[in-house]
Amino acid sequence: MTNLAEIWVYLAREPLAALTATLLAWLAAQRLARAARFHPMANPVLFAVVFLAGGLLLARVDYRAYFEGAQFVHFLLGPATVALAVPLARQWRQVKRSTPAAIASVIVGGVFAAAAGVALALAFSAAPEVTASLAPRSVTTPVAMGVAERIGGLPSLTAAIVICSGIVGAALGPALLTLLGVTDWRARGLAIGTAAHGIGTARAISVNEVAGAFSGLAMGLNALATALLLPLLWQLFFG
Amino acid sequence: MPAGVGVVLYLPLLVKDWAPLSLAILAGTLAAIGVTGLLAQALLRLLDP
Repeated sequence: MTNLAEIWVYLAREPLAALTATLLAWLAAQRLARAARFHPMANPVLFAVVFLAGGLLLARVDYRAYFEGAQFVHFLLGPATVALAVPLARQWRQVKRSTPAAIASVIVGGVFAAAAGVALALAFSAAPEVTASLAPRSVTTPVAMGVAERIGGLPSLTAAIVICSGIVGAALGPALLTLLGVTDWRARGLAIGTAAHGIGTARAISVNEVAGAFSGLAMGLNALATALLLPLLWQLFFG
Repeated sequence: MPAGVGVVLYLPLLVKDWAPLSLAILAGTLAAIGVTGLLAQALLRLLDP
């Protein structure tokens, strides 16, 4: 409790301009997404990032100075991610029965997602830090940033890649799964949660409660597997 | 969101490596969804029919 109070006191000292800009960008992005009738490609997170990045460049504001003020929003990412476990708890009986299949498919899918990104980066002779930034792109942002930093990637670049991957997965993933004949809501949820983390999970929850629960499960399992396995595999192949 | 804005720090890298970045995000994500979905459905039918 003391720690939480200390964090709050620390954050409250920071300038409010960046926080206000972040909230205004989010409101504008929400309005734009509503105008696009919440089409999966019209993701408010992406719009807000574009608005803020453009604003920083135009106003010549240093990113670090902006982040100092906006870190309260960044801090809330953790609790928001944990809240995605609510649908999982509601479907717990069904989830428990399918755990072995879920664990196996998420580990294979997570490793495949990382390997595909790295293979494409190597094939195009991308810079080493770009390759390392791409590896953890299918897991939730806080975990991906931590893993990227550990293996020599750029955490902020990873964060942007993670958001874009989530949007692609949420927008095009369901159609691809239908095309491939994946009709089981549990399997659809596992696939979206593994490759498109929280953004995909939010979409899955809005479509089907079972898919949402399994997507949340996959997101958590993949974050755990990636945090444990990726640094070891990276050391093994590139160390 | 604030973390994603940090991409402004690496604009030259984005310009240089736009092809692998775009391909990894688009093709890599869709391939991962396809592989995971097909495998999950097969395993669920096998272990939990």
